[in-house]
Amino acid sequence: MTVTATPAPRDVLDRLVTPARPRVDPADVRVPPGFRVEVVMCGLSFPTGLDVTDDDTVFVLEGGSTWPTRPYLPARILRLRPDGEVDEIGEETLGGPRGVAWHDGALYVSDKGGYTSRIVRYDLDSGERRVIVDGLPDGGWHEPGGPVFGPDGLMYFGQGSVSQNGVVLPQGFTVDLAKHPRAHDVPGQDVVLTGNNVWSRDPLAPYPFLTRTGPFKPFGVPAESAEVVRGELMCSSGIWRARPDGSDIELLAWGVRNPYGMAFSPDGDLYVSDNDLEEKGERAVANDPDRIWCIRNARTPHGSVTTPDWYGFPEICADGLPAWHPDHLPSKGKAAEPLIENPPAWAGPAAFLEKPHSCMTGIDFCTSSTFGYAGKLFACEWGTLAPLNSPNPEDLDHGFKVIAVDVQAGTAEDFVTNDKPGPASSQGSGGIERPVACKFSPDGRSLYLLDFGVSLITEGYMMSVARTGVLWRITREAVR
Amino acid sequence: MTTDSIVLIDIDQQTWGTHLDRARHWLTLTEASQSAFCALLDSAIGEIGEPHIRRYLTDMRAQAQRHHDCIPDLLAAFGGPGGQRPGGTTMGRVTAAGRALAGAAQGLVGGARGRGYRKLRELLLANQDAIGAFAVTEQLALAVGLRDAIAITFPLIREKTTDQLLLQEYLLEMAPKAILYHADL
Repeated sequence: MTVTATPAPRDVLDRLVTPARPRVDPADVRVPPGFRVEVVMCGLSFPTGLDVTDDDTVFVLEGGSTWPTRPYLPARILRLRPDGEVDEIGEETLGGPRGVAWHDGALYVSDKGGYTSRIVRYDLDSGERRVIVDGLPDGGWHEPGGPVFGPDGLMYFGQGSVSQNGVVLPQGFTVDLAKHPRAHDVPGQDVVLTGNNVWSRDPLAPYPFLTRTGPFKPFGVPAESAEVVRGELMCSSGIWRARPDGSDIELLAWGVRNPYGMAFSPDGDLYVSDNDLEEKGERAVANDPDRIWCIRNARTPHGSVTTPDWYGFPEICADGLPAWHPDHLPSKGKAAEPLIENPPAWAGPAAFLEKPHSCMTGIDFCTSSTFGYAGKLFACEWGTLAPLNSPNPEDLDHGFKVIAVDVQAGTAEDFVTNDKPGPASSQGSGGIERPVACKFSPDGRSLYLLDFGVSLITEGYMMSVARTGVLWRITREAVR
Repeated sequence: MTTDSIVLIDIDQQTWGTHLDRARHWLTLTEASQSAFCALLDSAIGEIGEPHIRRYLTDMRAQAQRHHDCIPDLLAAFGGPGGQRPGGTTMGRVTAAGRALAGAAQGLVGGARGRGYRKLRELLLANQDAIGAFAVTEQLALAVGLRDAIAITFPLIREKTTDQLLLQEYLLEMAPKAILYHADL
């Protein structure tokens, strides 16, 4: 599948052919004084990740699809060269690419699709494509995270949970149960189950009778009290590291619900973004904050982790309270019950807590004083799925911005926003829709910001619109 | 790269126009599928004596017409001329006639002699075909960024899916009489 990339004058942004996003206008994007906003690429379909090389070549992933997995458009890995030429490095399989890292002349791409996620390596000289890591449990709701490369030269990557809230339930899209009936979460260490199961209707049955499902089980399979589920290296909700060829995989952490964004701080700590439990369905949890974790085990020598740290999924909210605490009781859906007997020690607290349903995604550290925020973590907030996943009106405009986080202080300030909270399409502006990934240029002057584009969300459905994705660039203007 | 230009990915006028043109071709099939369903409903209502099923099908016919009447708006959303149809109605009538012939032959092979029962089975297949056609239209709308088209297709597909559940239910309810007793509806 060949990409059609066409250079165009900037005034075309006033009259784009896509009715769902007819106008893109840097003047409608709010950034601090002294920064200039530009559009680099327009018309991307479901973009999910990007990376920038030393010579300012930008790699952009088109995700193929997202949530749900239709419509499916070419899941392409695009290369934007410094002279503006665009070509296609490759096209991934059904499911699509999510994260990308350029390292030592090769491109490393995390891929979703089928029952497992994987890491694929492209040799940019020979064009060879090779799967170097496979078998990360998926087939469910969440995403692979990373890959990123650490100061130790190792590759770090993650995989989100299979279930939304700890038990595989028909609370997403019914076809998910038809596609992956055997999908389930896998713990990263041995756990003993309480025997609490969740009752739900089986939408695949001619008679949608009530059925019981337990944690770490496929839909419709109950758990027993005191049942032991063995931990596995290839677990869900995990964070790993490996050598660049995919060998010597080591599990650092598990219980991270959706570690979409991963980045190393200038002083060598690994941070991951993570999304909150949702207030819907038969195991609903209210007011769980979005969060950024520091993965402590990334500081340890490779091969030395005997027990991975546990960051709380599916039992502990990011504020450290259990999912069944009165502060987290839902007004929509059925309240959670404990699933794990005597769970492992919680590896929190989080480095930063954000409003629920902000949907934090890609992150990157500013390492240059040229940009003016050295040491701050820039975090994209894709934006809420409310009212689909929360009944609370105050959740309707969370996210839709980029924040600069002080991970030491646990505070943040807005960096990229629209005039009003919410996506540009909801306010008739040409600003940002849904920031999904960001990356600093090698000279430190610019932040590339990938904007997923338009998603239509109601209480009953979510549909994403192709060809509405944008690559923005935010540059610190020279001081005169 | 320079700051005085941007790069359009698959949304230049030529690519966009080509994709819209291909999507409009699909709308011809969508209209044909829905037209066939309407024609078979007309035929079935005349054949079925059972009063409850006849009533349900009469209501379904009114809804099917409403769905059929949405097609010019879909065509316009995909950049076609306003107030016009894609031109699939005649193809739909031909399709309906073909389905009726095939349904008669298959019904005889299967041992269901009644014309009314046979019509129900034809309706089940025809509506499934039309659901698929509208659902594909919706995917094409999402793929080229047309919110207006999605506002039309989403509720429409939901209604047709409920119709499908109903048609299958009647087919199952009446199967023993039609096959074992060779009775008509």
